[in-house]
Amino acid sequence: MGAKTIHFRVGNGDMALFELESGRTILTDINIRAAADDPEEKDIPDVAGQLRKRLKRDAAGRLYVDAFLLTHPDQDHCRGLQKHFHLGPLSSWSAKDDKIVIREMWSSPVVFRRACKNHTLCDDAKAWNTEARRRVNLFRTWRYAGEGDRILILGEDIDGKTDDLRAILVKANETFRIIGGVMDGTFEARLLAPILPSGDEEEEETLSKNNSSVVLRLDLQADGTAAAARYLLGGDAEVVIWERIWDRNAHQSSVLEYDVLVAPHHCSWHSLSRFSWSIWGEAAIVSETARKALGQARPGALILSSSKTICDDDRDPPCTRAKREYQDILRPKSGSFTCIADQKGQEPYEIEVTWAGAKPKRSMVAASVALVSGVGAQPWPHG
Amino acid sequence: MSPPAALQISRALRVIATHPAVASVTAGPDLDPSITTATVHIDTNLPGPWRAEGLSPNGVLAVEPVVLAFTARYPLSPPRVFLREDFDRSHPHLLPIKKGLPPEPCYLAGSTRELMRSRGILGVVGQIADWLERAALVQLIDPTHGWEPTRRDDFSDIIIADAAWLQSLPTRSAGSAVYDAEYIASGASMGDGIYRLETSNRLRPLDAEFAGSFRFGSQAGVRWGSGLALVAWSGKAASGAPFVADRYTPETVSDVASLHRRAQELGCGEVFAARMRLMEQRLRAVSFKAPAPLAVILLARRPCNLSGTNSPIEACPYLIEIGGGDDLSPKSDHPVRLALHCDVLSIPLLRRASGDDESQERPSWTLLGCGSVGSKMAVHMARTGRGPSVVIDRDIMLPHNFARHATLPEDDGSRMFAGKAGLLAQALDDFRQPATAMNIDIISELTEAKAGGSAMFPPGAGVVVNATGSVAVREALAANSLPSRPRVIETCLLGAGSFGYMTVEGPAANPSTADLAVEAYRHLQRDPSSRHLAFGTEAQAIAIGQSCSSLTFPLSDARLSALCAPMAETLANTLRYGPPPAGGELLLGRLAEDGLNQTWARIPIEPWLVVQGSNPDAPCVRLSSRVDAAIRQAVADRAGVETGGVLIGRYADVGNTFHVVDVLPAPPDSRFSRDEFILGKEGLRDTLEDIVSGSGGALYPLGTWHNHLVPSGASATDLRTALHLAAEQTFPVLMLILRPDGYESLVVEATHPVGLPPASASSDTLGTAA
Repeated sequence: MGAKTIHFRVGNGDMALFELESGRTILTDINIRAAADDPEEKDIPDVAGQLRKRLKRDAAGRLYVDAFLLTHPDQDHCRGLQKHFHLGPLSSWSAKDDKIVIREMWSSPVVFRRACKNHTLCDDAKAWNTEARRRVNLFRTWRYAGEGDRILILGEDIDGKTDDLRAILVKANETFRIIGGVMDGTFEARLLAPILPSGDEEEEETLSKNNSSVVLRLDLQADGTAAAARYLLGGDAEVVIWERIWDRNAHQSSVLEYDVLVAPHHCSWHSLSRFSWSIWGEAAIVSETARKALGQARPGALILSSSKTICDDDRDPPCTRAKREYQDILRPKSGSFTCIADQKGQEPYEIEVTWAGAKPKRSMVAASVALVSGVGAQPWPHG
Repeated sequence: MSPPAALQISRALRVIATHPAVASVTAGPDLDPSITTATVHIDTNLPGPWRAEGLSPNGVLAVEPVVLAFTARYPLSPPRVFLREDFDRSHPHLLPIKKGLPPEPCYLAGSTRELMRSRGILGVVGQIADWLERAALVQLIDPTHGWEPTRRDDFSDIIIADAAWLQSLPTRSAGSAVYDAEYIASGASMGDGIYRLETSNRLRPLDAEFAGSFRFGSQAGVRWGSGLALVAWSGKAASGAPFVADRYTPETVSDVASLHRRAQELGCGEVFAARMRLMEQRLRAVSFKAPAPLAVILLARRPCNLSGTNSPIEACPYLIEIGGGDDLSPKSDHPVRLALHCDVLSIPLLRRASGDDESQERPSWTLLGCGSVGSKMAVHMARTGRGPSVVIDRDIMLPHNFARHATLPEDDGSRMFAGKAGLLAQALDDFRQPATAMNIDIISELTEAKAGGSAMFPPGAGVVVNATGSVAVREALAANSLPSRPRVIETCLLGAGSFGYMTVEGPAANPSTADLAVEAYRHLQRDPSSRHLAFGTEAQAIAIGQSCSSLTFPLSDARLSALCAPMAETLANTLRYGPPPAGGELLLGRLAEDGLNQTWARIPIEPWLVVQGSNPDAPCVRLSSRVDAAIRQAVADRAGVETGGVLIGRYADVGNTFHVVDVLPAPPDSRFSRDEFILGKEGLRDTLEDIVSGSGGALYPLGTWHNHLVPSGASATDLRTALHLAAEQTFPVLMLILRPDGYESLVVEATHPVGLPPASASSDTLGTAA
């Protein structure tokens, strides 16, 4: 059986589907560009179609994900939400539109913030917030929510705004194994960020938007082996967050170990350094603390850059200097660094989680199948 | 090596280098000059932690060198594939090892030559890469595909035993038993010769007479006789759960000592040792004139079902030659030979191979007619373990029958002129599904059967399949109302092999097999593209107004089989799940002239309305529910006056029954009033002509119907009209009257002798149905 993670080719953006051994699915972020939905556009993969193909339908014929984790409400993480996902009560779902049902939202507490000058929201992000508030309000009223109305808030908000939501709130450094209100032993998630700001205005400002990004560690079971692979999803968290994460976990660095790291902010230098790559170039100093937080690679670890191709130039993200830093982290561990955009073809990049750990699914040559038996590649005559 | 082959091989190596799993390709090592070898370094895609180590815990390297050996027969034959000499040989899915050669992966469940043809050398490399990837993860045994039986590299002896029986032996605790066996062998002395031993399920006690259970015979270098089979199985583990032999280990048994160790590994060591000890004691003082075989079958319980079976029990067979006074102790170096287990032909085996439910009992059913269609049905069913229990036919096999019969002719011609029923029963016997053959006249048996029932229909028989292609048998069945008669399924071909015809009677024979035939005629007659094929002159049997005599028209076996196969599928489903709980079914299939396409219609038929005569000898009138509805609608459309029409169908003299399948509306010149209905004639003859000729005479007018506004019986006018009609008709005239309280039938038949004017006509019968 095992678990599988599917990393869609969405350029500088995030979109990954986690298929747990239990069969449940967790979608983390989406970046479904208009061009991806355009059948005439052959160069941009139809990621929505690729996603839909992998999802199951419920008894009422609705495609669904068991959970949708939006790490933070940037456009490159929630683009296409309104177009492809059903928002509002299940009773308003329409077969004609055939949108994907989000059984449970996993949201950062940023939904409770008002937009401010540093914090503008795109329409999809606003739609996410509206839907999240609808679900929170239902919970506030009934202290319970059914499928399609559930929400989990990942991280406390300031001013006690989330104090009455304990049952649907996960605080930083807490772990959970519940999805859709049901215990699922095939995964364990640990929330590393967002971290509750201490209260002063400057810090609050620092910790907003990108820095309110969810950072989640996800252990996946495979073939009955618990935590067969550990994923670290960095969201768009920047250097200050990684420094804080290290500070909080330095005494237990094993908490930050990973087999697969989705490099934060599309392999941005800003997650590793306080200095701008385009201004300082090679003189930009890496933050040793952030590097430690991101450097707990296990032997044979994989680091993924969910970004465009990384060029040797002054762009950021993705940043070639960040890539080098990650490769340095991996070298002693015999790990490998992969940029999703560099894979051949249009299919998403897939990682299989086996009982012995994670490994990229072998890219298939045109005439090849994955079975030892070979059955299924073509009709086999029987005499 | 020929240059074309050299060119092909160098091309292959270039292609191989492009495979994403291939790290590099190097030439060599040098073997035979006629063989070109290349070492392909394959990235085994190990999970992260192992990749960092460079190898998996079971020794699969992150990059494995694999030697491909090409012969001049490439590309027709794929290269042979060798792993490192020191590759762990305990993996499943390694080919049996030949001495002196490195291990070869069995990377495809199928023909590698076919793989090479369909997917090229890249397909081969892809399979090898997958094999290595799975080997590292110990996933070569895939629980969804099943446990791979223990690989055995060298054996010649065959042990035949019913796998289902073996699988049924293990009990909660470990156990063992000894059974009688028969063998045939070549070679006269110990260690030389090959055995073929068949175990029985007869227990052999290890008592004082035990040594005498071995028997010997020989002639012209062939030995035969009675041997024994010892079967041992595991029980509970210390935890109380069943002991599971979940480690895949290669076969290492070569002597009695290693056999004891193997039994230990499989969880049955103690019971096996005890039985061997006892056997050794019993045989201590004897000395055989020739070696006798003792088969040992160890039953291992595996963690998942064996590949291709529904059981986790693996039979591991061995053979020990006994000479008397042999050492069978755990220290003995007495030789033990590996054997091949061969299952017996059995219903579970047939079901397994057919992808069918092994647990379902063989159903009891009767086959009437053992000709081409009947034999096909019987053999199709037998191949899924559902052969008929009674087969009936009074004909004998003639040479031309072998053109389409499911049984095969014998060399010596002994099957010519044998009874068809007996011949088919013999074939069923070979399928381990004995059947009673009855060489009798079905019609006589049906008409003479007493209320006590007939041997044709054994108790519990679910259905009777009429494959006689005989209308007479159909009508005799329809006329037979004994409660012991099961529901009839009829299968035959129509229209010189253009149509497949299958009907399934409803419960209590309503609709009856005859009703359904009339429905089929109506269906075919109304389809302009079918009627000429079903009822045209080419369909010779139709010329007399009937259709089913498939035996008489020339037809290839392939065409017949093409139409029989879907009917056999339907029959198998009916035997599996039972006939439809309400109503009957008509299935009509049409095979295109080119024999490639066929289309089938499944038409549910509601129960017919039965207007029973007032006395047992009175004719019975059976109305299709469609006719009943049409009559009632016509009456409703003309409220306050009498109305009527013409009845279409068949009259069956065997059962003295009218089957009314259609009604024609009153012609436009008919007159309707409160007192009477006068049937007009405008256009009626043409319509009737069309029906009669369009159905080859299978459907024809039976009489008329009309309604009465009050619950009164046939009037003097009715009787007069009926008498007139009867004078024109060679079978009784049916006059059906719908009264407010139900149907009444009036049947009138001319009884005057041939050649005389119809002065007398009589015999009216009244019957009603609501």
